Parts: sequence; C-alpha cells; structure tokens
Amino acid sequence: MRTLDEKRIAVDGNGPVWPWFAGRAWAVLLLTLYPLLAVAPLAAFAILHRGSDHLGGAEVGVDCAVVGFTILALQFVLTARLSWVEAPFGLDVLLVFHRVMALVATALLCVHPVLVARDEGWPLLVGWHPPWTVWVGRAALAVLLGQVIVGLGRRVIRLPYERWRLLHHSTALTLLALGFIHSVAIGDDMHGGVLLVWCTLLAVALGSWLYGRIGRPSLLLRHPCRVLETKREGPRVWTLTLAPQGGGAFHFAPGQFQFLRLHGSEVSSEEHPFTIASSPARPDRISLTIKESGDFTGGISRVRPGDYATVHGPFGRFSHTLHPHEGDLVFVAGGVGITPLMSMLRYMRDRSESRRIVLLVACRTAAELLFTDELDAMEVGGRPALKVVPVLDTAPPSWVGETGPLDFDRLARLCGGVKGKAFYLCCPPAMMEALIRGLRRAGVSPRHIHADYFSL
Amino acid sequence: MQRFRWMNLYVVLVTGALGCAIAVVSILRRAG
Repeated sequence: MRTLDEKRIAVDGNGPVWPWFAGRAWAVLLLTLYPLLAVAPLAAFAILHRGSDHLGGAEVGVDCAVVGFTILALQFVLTARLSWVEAPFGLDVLLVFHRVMALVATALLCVHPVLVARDEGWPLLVGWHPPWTVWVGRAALAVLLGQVIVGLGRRVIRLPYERWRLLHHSTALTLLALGFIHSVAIGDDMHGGVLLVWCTLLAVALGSWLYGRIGRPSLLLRHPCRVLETKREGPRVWTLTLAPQGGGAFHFAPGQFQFLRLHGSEVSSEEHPFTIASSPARPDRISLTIKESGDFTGGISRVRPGDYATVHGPFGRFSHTLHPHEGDLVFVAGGVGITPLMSMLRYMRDRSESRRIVLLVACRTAAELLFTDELDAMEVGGRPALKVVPVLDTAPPSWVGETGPLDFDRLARLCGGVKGKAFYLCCPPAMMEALIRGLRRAGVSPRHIHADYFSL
Repeated sequence: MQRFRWMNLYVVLVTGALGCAIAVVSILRRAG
C-alpha cells in the first residue's frame, strides 16, 4: 500500500523481501547505540561542566537522575513505531524492552532523591516546606510511580486497554514535562551547552510523541482504505476486508500485523493492532479477522462496507518466511489466534509449497472453529501438505476428534514427536507458556519455537 | 522465543553498563 511504510516489505516471485533494516547488522548497531545514547547526556555534562559541588553520594544520585530521565526520554522513541527501530526486533520484543527499561529508569529515579537527601538534608525528601522545584520533582516521581503501578496492575484492577493507553500516553507527557522543569530549575549547571543537550533530549522525546499522536495519523489519512466486505466467521468473530482507496497494494509478510483505525463508522476511532489473515500473494486487499471483546472490538459487528479506515504497518517477525531453512512445521492456534497462521497457510497454498504442516487448533466448542471449509480444501489440495487437528474443550456427543486441554503431551502425540520440527504458537498466554516449557524440556531449541504474544 | 532470551541478556548487560557509567562519571566529576 502507498503508506508511510511503502519501502518495508516487498513481495517478489521468491517471497517477501525483508528490508535491510530488518537484518542482523542493523540490530547490532541499534543495540550498541542504545546504551551510548542513554549515557550521552551524562557524558556531555561531565565534559561541559567539570567538577561537582555535591558530596559523593549526592553526585551519584544526580547522575542516576540524569540517566533515568534519559531512559524515559528514549522510551518515546522506542514506542513511536518507527519501522527502522521495530523491524530488526519485532514490536512485541520492543514493548517488553520498553517495560523493563521503564522499571530500570524508575529504580534510578527512586534512588536519586534518597542519595541527594542523605548528603544534603532529609527535609529535601520528607519535609513539608522545601523549594517549589523539589515539589515538582516529587510530583514527577509520584506520576512515574503511578504510571508503573497502573501499568503492572491494569489487569488486576480490570482497567480496559483503551482507557489505560489513553492514560499512559497523557501521563507520559506530564512526566516528561515535570521531570524537565525540575531538572532545569534545580540543576546549578543547567546553562550553556548542558542546557542545550538537555533541550535536545526533550525535543527528541516530544518530537516522537507528536509524530505518533498527530503527525503519523495525519499522514496516514492521505492513504485511506475502504472496507470492502464484512463477514461473520463464527460466534462474535468477524472478518473485515480492506482495499486501498484509489488502488495500490499492501506489502507485508504472512504472519505480520497492522494497526487499524476506523473512521466515520459507529466504532471507536482508536487505533488497534490486528493480525493480517490474508495472503500477501493477493496484495490488492487485506483481511483482518477480529473477535468482539474489548471496548473497540465490541463494536466490530457494526462496521459496514464503505466505511473508511487507515492502517499502519506491517509489524512483527512472527513469519515462517524469516526461517526458510526450517523443515516440517507445527502450527498451534488458540481460538482467533489462528489468524497469523491462516495468513502463512494461505500464502503457502498460493505459492503451491509442498511443506508438511500440522495445524492444531484449540477451541472451547466446535462452533468456535474458524475457516473450517477453507482448511478442509487445503488438506485435500495437498499443497501445502496440511493436517488439521481441532482440539475441543467441550465436545458434542457426535464429536469423534480430540477433546480436552491442548497440553504438551497431546501436542507431541498429535504432531508425531517434536524432533526436527519448528513450532509456531499463537494462543492464550497460559497455554503458550506451558507449551513452550514442554518443548524446551523435550530439547527443542528456542530457535525453533516462535511465539506470537498478541496480548502483551 | 529466541528474541526474548536475547533481550533478557541484553537488558542485564545494559543495566550493568549504565551502572558502571554512573559510577565512573560520578567519581570523575567529584575528582574535578
């Protein structure tokens, strides 16, 4: 599609061609760059302003804050969905890294006031009448801790994803502003070159935030798509088929996902990630299979042909095309988690590949099994050499197939042993973790276990 | 799977490197 990411994935006769920045060399460069960037302002301060008026502990405390704030500023870049940052790692890994580094920054920023107060007076930490600059710092720390607690506990307090994301984005900006004001107002070396470095850091973070929230949505509006068709696939599961308005093509690898925003329909115009279920061999359209669940997806049945949408992507590295040397494949789907695997299977069918694949589909009931006619036809077609095994939690008396939980023992039995096979898992987290544990215990290399963590 | 394993190792290395950098810069700045 003629979007911002036109240059990301090309599909030629030999399959998807991943861009150069999805490769290992670029990944190594970024991995080297990140810690250097995280300490760059600290190093610049040390060079530009030699010496320190603080005692030893307080100096360490101030330096912790400089690095902590720099990490927080870099978080805005990590989460701006920049293709050259995402492609070598995958957005799932990037989001987990974002979460872990937020905890590292929080630890540094919690240590900061304790070390400073230890050397320069505890009233700075616990007093009621410190300078206003200290209150701003306290407010920043309170916002940060609130952000972390809500982020870690949002499932416990049952905060809907949509509301959490809105809160997260707005408080992140508040945190950045408070931290910046505190540091500039309280830092006795915040002038000249030091201030310039600090303002550059703020500009990079703000620029990333503005691009993600305002710039990119506006640019995407120049290349809208139309909903061509909506189709009910099963109980509360719908497939939307989209095509670029005015022609064009979507470029993606099978298994990848895109962010979808619907405009002008009765559904919320929030942006949400959905896996592409269609094959890249048919690039003039994409289909997204979506289950009604949260605030946004709950209204998916109200989408009508003709509604218009914008898509951003593709993202992710959950694709067999990245591992062309793997032999027999085992696909494990939990319910609607079958969508990325369908994209891969449809692509193999369109290319008439002769690979051997076992597809295990775990569902609660037979009614929840998706794409049954198409999968039957694929099995009969023989290319790919597909064997589909549905596993139901609750089966009707007439059911002659597998019933019960899809655990590792059942997986190993149904795919004829795990040796020499590669596994692609897209299922609920508990099932995913149990299967990965079993596969690792059975000696399957992590290189041959691919997991799509769609509920991160 | 492999990607997450590498990420965990990387986080440990980066956190250690940042800690060392803070310590070194603090000592250098105190030394003036």
